[in-house]
Amino acid sequence: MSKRIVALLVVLFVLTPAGFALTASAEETVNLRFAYWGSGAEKEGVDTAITEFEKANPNIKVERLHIPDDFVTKLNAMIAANEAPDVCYSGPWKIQLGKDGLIYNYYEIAELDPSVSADDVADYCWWKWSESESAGPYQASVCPSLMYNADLFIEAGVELPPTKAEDAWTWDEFVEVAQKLTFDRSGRNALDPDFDPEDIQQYGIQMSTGWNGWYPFVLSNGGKYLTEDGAAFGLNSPEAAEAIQKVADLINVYHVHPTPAASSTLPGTATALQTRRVAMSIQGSWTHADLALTEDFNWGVGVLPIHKEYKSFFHGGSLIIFKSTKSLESALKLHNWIINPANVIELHKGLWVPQLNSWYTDPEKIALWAKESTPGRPVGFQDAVMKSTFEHAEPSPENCVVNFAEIDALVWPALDNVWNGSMTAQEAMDSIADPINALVAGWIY
Amino acid sequence: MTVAGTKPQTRKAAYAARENWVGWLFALPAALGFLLFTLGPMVASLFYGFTDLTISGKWGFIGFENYARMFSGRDNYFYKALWMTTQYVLMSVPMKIIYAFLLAMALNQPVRGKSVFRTIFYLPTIVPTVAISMIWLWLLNPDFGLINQVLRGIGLNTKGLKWIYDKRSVIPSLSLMSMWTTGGITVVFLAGLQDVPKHLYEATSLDGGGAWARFRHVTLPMMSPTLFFNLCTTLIGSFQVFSEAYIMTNGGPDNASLFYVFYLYREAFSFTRMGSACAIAWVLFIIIMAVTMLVFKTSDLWVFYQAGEGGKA
Repeated sequence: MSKRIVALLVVLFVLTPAGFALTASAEETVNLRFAYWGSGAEKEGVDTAITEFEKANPNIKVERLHIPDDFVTKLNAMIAANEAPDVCYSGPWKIQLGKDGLIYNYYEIAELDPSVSADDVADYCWWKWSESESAGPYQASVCPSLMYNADLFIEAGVELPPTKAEDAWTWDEFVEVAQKLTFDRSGRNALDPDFDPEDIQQYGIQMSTGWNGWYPFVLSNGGKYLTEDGAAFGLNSPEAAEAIQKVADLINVYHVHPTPAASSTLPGTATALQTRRVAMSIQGSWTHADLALTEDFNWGVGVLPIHKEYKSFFHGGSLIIFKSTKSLESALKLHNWIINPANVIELHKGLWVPQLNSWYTDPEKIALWAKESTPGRPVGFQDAVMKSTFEHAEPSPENCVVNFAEIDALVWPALDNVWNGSMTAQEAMDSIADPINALVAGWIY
Repeated sequence: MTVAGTKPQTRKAAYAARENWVGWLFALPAALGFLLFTLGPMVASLFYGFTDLTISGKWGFIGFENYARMFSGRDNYFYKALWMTTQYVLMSVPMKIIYAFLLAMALNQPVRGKSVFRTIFYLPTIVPTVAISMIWLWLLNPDFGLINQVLRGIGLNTKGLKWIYDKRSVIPSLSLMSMWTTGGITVVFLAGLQDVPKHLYEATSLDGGGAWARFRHVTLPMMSPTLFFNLCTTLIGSFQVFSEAYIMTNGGPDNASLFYVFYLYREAFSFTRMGSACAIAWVLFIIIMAVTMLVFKTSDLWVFYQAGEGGKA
């Protein structure tokens, strides 16, 4: 062995532990897997947030699993193969994962990363599977919103919808406006005695016939999804049934709202408004993002009509953190990063609205997402959507009614009979009260 | 089958053994595929049908509870789904078979441009169900749909004709739609028709039989094995109808198109009861098996096989 080689070996021998020490001192890289759905703008917004997250946390690498459809099926397969992601989007099925102990109880881990304060989240914004166990708060909110094509109001000489909750239309006023904005092919509006309901060119109003469409009016009329004590089904109360009946009357009595069949051939909400098929639309606030896409479209937002008092609600999904994650701290960091409106701010300018209270009260934060006269936030937005919902929000049945998915699966088929006029709302809701009461297990929030 | 043995017995045996081995090798991919991807999951689902498996993969034995829940009526949808699916099968299977049979006979006529017609009628079969559903959603629209417009055009009152938007007409509407995609069955019928020996028609004509006699006494009996085959496959396929309900009606209105497989899907992926969904799947399997066996049993009475004296070949 030559001297040189020996020297080299000695040097190596000396350096090796130093080398070890070096790598050990640098932080270990954590690899996380994040699964999500959503198309177009949502994917872009979330991707940007993740890229920023990686920049802020150089030791964490996030593998993105974008699964636009069949999410549950694929997640199910990943769980079965012990390859569940660390953090992912989730639907109401997360409750089952929570009960089965697959995901973390957010309340237990929250203190590991205090960047989101639980005090900043309203009680009804948590997805819970028991009083003390939650999958986490909404990752963002959405809410019902009344949107309209302003040109159609101007042409018909009708005053624009009010933007303050205290000025909200009564239901009768709302019906009358809708009548003035519904036209048959001969140009007669729905108040005209010769109006032809069989041949409608433009509808005054279209709304979602799902629970998120009619529930604000049930609330406004003093009804609730379950009785106050959570012991029984609530939509068969006279107040709730009356509110639902009045929505059905828009279709079958006043002919200002498309029938379910006619609705199915109308384009999406934003396009239907733009192409003058409908003058007003009550749909989820995510539609603002679609409406923002056309620059010169003259659209606006108003407050919802009311029965007794102004009521609305927020709803939203949440992220879940799997217990199989190798780094809970990093996973929670990613979770809290994505649900922080500041990091996905582009999405909060149209698609979403924040779920954190401070974003509704702190003027600096409000300016970040609700600045008016921007593409997704027309004049009046702060009154008509932001304040009116925040100040009059009730719990959303989706996450606050136990067994909601199964109860709703009985409600909407029964409502088909109401929308097509073959049953009254009272009859339809009474007809399903028994099977629903067997599923009712109270409120949770 | 007997073959006159000219070769020595041993060589023949060795050859047969090798041929056997090669045969198995060729069959292996299919056999393995069946074992791994069909039989395996089937056995697993039979097992899970007796558990309360959820989407998280957790399960515990609950005996016959899933089945008890279905049959006792505690499940709000089982009987409804079964009844709706049965209605669909009873309506769509005869419609599909008769239509495809008549179509095949028409396409079998010696006319100019025969292959063009055959292509046209087969085309819908290669369109994905999702696209077909979207097309029919438009065609069947009560207000603007082509079908009601044509009916109005010939002076009919279509006011009450709401197609898939009325619970009384949703099943007939979907059955009507299913006739459109019978290209596969039609091709099988067409092949069968071309196999009917010409001399039988000639013989019937010589005996003074007209078109009806040729159909009744030659075409129909000679086609009975093909009819039988198509009946079985169509029955099975119709019991498994899913996409139409999933895409077009969401099971509605008022659950009037809550097809069995759609109900199964919802149990698994909306209500997260995988174990129960497995049990539901097995009930359908047994129903389909029973119905198919029934058809097989009756086939002795009406299926005529060419080889032998009306017996089986």
